[in-house]
Amino acid sequence: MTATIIFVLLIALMLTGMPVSISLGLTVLTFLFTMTQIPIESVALKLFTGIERFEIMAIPFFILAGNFLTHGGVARRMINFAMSMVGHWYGGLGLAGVMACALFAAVSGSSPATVVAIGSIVLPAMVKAGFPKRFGAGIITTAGALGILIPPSIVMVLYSVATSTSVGTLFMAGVVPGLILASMLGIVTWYRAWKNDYPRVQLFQGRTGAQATIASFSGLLASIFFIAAPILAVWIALRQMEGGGLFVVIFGLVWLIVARFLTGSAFVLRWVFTLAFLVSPPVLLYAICRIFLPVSGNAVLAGLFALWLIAAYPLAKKAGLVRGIGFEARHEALQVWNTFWESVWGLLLIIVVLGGIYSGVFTPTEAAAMSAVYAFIVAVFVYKDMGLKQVPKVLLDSANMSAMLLYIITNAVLFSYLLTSEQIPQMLAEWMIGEGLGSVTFLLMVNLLLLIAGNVMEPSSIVLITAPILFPVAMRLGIDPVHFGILVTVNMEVGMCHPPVGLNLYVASGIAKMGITELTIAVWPWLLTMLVFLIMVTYMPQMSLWLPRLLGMM
Amino acid sequence: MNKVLNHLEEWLIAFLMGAATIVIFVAVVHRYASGIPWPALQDWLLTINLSWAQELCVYLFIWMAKFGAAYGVRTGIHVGVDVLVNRLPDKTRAKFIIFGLLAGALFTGVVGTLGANFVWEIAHTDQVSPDMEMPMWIVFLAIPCGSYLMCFRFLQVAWSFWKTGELPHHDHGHVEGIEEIKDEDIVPYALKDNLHPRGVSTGNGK
Repeated sequence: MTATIIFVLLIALMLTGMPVSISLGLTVLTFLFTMTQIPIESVALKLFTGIERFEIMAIPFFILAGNFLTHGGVARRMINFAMSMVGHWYGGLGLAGVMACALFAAVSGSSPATVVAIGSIVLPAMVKAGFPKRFGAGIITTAGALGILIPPSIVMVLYSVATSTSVGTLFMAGVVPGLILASMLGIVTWYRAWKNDYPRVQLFQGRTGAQATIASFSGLLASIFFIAAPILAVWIALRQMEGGGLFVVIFGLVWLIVARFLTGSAFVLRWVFTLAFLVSPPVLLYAICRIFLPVSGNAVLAGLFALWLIAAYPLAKKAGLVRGIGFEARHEALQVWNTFWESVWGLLLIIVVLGGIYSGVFTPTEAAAMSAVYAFIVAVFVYKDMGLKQVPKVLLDSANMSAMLLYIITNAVLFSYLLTSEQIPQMLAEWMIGEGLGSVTFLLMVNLLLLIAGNVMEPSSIVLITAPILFPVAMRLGIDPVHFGILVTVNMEVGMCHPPVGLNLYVASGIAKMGITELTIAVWPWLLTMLVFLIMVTYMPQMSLWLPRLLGMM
Repeated sequence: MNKVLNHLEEWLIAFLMGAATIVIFVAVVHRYASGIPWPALQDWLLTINLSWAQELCVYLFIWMAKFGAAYGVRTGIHVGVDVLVNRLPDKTRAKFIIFGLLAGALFTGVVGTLGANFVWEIAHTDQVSPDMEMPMWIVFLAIPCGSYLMCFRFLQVAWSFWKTGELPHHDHGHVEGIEEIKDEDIVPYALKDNLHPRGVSTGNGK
């Protein structure tokens, strides 16, 4: 009975169009003043201490970091890098857009911000290159949604606030689904571009996509090798020493700065490419064997090396990598090399955040704060795309948006306190189990509920209102909390890409200067892909749980 | 007078945001820097105790959130469910908007009063925060101050809406043909996206 009154009141208040935070707060106040014996003083404290938790403070920091990155030229460099990697396939710029969205998502925690950062550069470029506008807008709207699935993610922080799930584990769980969704969106993009014969970048006449792919991958391999090999070597040498970890980090930073100066030298280039080509494939293969197959040991590594050394030369010759043969290949590989080193400061942030949280160097909130400072330094002092004068504006914008989210959180915490004290989630769980509904039906219902909610509300509010209700039921049904979190996040992604409410859609329509109706039609091939992906995520928990389990986080 | 308040509000929240970031950054750097055995420097670093940094960060953000929420009313950033309301004819919608704004003023007014009582009571105890040992009533002062300011902003917006029929929005996305918009002006949560009510006199968002 009380439950009905609470929800009817909340929904009625929300439908009048007042801010969600105010409707939540008014519902709680009305309830307290009229229907309950709980002394108002005991709740008063809750009203003030609702956001007094350090974990919640990751949200403003991630928003700040995202804003620095959006204005700081990081996005443009990531797009160039993505372009050099995948531009030679059909729909090259579109694929580069998807990849750049995935990369930017790995440094930013918000989807609309990803759409703004990548879309405002890729969309005009695509129109100029001769793509239909709706093709580009469709890609950016949906790929931008990766922002909240690939860590860091503000929605995941909110979910963990509402359910006390570990943020670090949630972040790790988002990696694999994020990569899978990015690939699925990429495949759809490629297929549509191939069918409609959209332009691709072909630097050289008659060069096939496969050849270009091998060349660009070797460029990537060489870049990573050049960064990682010395650091790895130092780490192996010093890992036994006390305080060695810190020394490795400092060495890594110094090495990066030194390496950045060496990247132009022809001598360095030749040796790095040769060494990387000889060393990295067997090492990579060995790593894959270690993870997926029950084989390990030095014999396997040695065997792989021997096999590779035999195969390397013919392969290199075929791909045109051997000196004197492939001007084209060298050009392509060099392009990847150059764009990689241009964007390396942005890409490094991925390691700061994820590596920092996973290794236990930072708590998630600290990682967020560090990434905000890092993004500030990169934007203002390294890339110099932003002047110091713009900093107060960025701070103010970030404060504005964070305050809005924090205000919803304060009131949502109050609301969930009310729900708990009225035992509403427990009642719901009892009812579900009494009806004999299993987890399959429950998950289906959750998906439908969240998709419907996505039609009228904004993701943060949905998560904060529904998670405290649904989470206890999910626990009773034996659903993994992390898997449930990823499922909720993917639902929010879908909700952001379709009308009548869809933040990505509106941001993209602002950039592309397209009407919402036209954009809605443009989005559907990718949106359908996302729905298929949603079903996969819902009923394949291994997809989200595999990586955190592998890393021993759960 | 109003202008001074506006600027003060903007500077305060931007400053709090930056300050909190620097505090955490310094604390983390200090934690790891004091682990390195530099001669002499380490002893000095170890004498500095920064364990209160987290607490300070939380309080800075609470202040930022309360005043930022008031600023958000002025910039119209608070999201709501406006799908239905935006389909209503102008006159009916205007009533709903006024109702919503007044409800906001009511809620923040009540919370402000509750908060003022609370602060008054706490000020008569000697409660201090766990790490910094700062009197708690100073921390909680953010609630009455922020809430009353927010209440004032709601009334201000309601008043100007009553007068002009316009709501605060930086609605750059749909200004057609008048001026070329820069893409960095597109701020998520500040668009005509059915998460915010539309004003009335402006018709189709001119």
